[in-house]
Amino acid sequence: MKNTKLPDHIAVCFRARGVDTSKIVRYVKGDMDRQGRYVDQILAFDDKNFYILSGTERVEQVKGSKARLHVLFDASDFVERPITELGHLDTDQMVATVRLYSEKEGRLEELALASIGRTNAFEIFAKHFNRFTDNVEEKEEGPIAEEPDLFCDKCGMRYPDPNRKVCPKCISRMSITVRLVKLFFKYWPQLLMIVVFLGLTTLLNVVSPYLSTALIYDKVLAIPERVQIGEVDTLYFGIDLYREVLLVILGLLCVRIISHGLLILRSRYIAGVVPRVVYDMKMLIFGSMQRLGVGFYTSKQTGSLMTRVNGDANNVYHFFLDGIPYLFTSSFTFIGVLVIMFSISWKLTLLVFVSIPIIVLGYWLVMMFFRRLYHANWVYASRMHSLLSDALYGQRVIKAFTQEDSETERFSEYSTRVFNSSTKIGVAQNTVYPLIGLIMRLTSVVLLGAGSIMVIQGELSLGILMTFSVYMNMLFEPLGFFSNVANWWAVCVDSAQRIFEIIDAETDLPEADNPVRLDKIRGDFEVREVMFEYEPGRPVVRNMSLQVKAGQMLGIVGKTGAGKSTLVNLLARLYDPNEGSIYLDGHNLKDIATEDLRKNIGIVSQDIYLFIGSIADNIRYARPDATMDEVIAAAKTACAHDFIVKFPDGYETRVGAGGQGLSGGERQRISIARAVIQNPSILILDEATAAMDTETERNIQNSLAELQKGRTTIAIAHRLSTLRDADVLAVIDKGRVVEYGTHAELIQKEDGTYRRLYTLQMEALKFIGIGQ
Amino acid sequence: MEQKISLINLSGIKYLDPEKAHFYLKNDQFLCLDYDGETYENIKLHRSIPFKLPDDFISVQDMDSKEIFLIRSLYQFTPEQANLLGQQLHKRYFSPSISRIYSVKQKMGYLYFEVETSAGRKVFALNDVTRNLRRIDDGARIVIIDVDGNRYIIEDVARMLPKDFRRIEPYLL
Repeated sequence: MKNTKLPDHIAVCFRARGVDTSKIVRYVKGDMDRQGRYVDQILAFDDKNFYILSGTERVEQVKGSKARLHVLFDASDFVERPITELGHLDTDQMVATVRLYSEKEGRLEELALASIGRTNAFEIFAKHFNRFTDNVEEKEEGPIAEEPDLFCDKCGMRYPDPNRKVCPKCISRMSITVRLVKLFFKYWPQLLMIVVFLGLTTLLNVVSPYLSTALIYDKVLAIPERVQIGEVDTLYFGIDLYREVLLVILGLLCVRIISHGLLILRSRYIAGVVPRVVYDMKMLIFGSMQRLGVGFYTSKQTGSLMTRVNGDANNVYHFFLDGIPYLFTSSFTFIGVLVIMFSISWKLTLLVFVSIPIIVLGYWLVMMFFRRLYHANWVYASRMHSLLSDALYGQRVIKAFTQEDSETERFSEYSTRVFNSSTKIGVAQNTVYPLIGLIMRLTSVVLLGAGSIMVIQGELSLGILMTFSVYMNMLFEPLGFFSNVANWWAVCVDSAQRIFEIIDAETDLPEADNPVRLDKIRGDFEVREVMFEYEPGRPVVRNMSLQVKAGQMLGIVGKTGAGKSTLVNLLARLYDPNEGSIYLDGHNLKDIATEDLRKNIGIVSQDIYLFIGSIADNIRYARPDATMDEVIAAAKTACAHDFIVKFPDGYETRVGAGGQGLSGGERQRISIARAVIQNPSILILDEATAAMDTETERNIQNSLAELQKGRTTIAIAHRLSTLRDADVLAVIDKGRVVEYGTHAELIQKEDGTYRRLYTLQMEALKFIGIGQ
Repeated sequence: MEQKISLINLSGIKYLDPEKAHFYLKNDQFLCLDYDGETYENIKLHRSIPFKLPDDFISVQDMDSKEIFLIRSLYQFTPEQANLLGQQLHKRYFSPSISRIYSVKQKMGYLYFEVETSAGRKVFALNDVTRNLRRIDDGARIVIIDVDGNRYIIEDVARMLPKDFRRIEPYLL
């Protein structure tokens, strides 16, 4: 979003104060005054002045139109300062606020205060201001990243996820439902079959009460009475009464058998369809996740992503495969039964209608009440599970500090909460549902009384009364379903939204339209004016420039948190810089085909992850077609072979969760072997040998030295001896390159950081008797 | 007898002696410290225990974010000095207290709050309730952190209006 043209409702206020708004160069929105009160602020500058307009921005409905809104700004304060009074602008990020200040000839002056969310916007504004006042052209220093459009056009609310311009407040449930229907459209034959099965079962269920009651009571068992009144002749009565009973019973048996046959068929059919749909849904989510960059995973909790793959997919399919077919059949049953009941006795049916609203309301209240109870139970259970997983993973620490009893106590505390809340639910369920049942039974009793009077008065036959009673009970069943279906739908739509959020998420590492294909990469790196931040306002790499020539080894040195790992992440394009560019063999990294880039870069990271599988599988992870000879050779190069063969299962030893326990050094060596087998043109070693003893490290270095010939190697290490073969060294501090040169050059710098670090480490080695 | 060195001595923490310290504002906004003949400009204050002990264990850091002193408690200072430090902390840890909750709506996994705070009315969104809606002080206070990282505090749960409490109750752990 380019903040160059003031919005009309704000421009009006500026013009009213004599400002020529066409000359405004930049503006930015703030959200509080310098005393820490919420106000809307506009900070702007033109070629002469700096302005701060304070007031309240509000949205109003246009008179006579329900849909149209217009925005107004009620100004309360206006400050105008010549820009010559101000020096360079900068931001000072505090814990929950950010301030914009000017620095002129050593004098600092606070100009504005805002909430932390405005940090990025303030920084961008300050950069534009500084460039403008310094008369620096864009082409000289490259473009400044624009502030992403973070606010919803409709309601003005900030998007919860800046990478996804979706406002949950404004998104309509209907649009999600339409997307869901489209997603499930390919299953329409299966859905139709389920509806047909359910429909037929329901039809038979609706018919069977008539056979089992009205037909047998009023037509068959009443034959003696019908003989008396001359409706059936005596001869017929004498011979065929048993045959009539048999026919009805056979009919009933047929209905029951067909109904249960359909039930079995439907269940078998659903059992076949559900896994297919669940598989498709999970693959869709998982596939979409794999497409996304590392940034996506750092902004989301693993637990929440797991829930999306499992829980949300289940919620959605459950509604579509269970909810929708039941909605059809419940509606069919409800309407069908109601029609039959009206046709039997409209008077009794109207009597039933008196209790229906009470039952529906009862169900609704119960759902609301239980929703809160279930939520509390879910929260307590989640916390108990987290605690359990925490305690299981941390067993070593628990035992080391003899905290078994306190952990048991902690677990008991959470477990008691789950127990109490489950008891509460159980007690509530066993009180409320019988109460609703009682209302139904009472209705039945009242109806039986009213119906009996009608039988005595000859308005109804006994069979019809019995049939009516059965249908009435059938009518109550769908009511429970209808009371809950809206809630069910809401849960489904919420889950669907979260799923669509992943499906729609755009990767933060997009592939160029016409990517440059590089089969073989030489390995010439150039980092030009790069700035990168994981969180807005907290840059980790600032204005960084450096060069590595093909085949060279670059050693990166710096304190913890200096930005070393971030730099290699940028070089491997696991992230894209916010500002500046990185070039590889003269091409911008963003333009190179991701596949070619990844194929040619091997990374040994300090966060080693071994997948569940054998050691051999882990080594050939990047090249599954590697032969066993190659796997062993890679392991040997990484000094891993010797310890691997000592395991009883050798290269077939299972590692990863639940597998063989490996030491940090062993895991690192497997990870080096994994990079070696890839045979990359560029090798990135991020503290690759930190967990090893000096001798093993030296052995690996000797092996890697051979491997590194002709390849660009970028190595990060705290232990400077690791970088003894580096052609060039970069010392990084607070995200900036503070020293750059060869070991010989850097060691000459009297007050240099490298020299200081090197001397410290040499002294430490001498002290323990290792150094010369 | 060999005497054990205390952990505090070992750690090298430099507790600030209020007698030797004088805090003041330069250009009305930037905090400076004169201490034992030395002047530290544009210093920053950080709370070590921001929720439970907001006025104790205050880290005084220089322009390079390196701790120069640790203040044991603001109560050791004269009222004027404590007031100055309190204001600076308030500005840095801006967390308005919520006096009313007008609405809490759950939409697609996010919670939307409309509240009245000590700094004015505010509408904000919340992600991941389990992490960002926290009860502290044994449930007596509630801290809410919105999607931007802004913090809001409900100072006393017991004094909330029942209808306001009911609005957030389902989301409290």
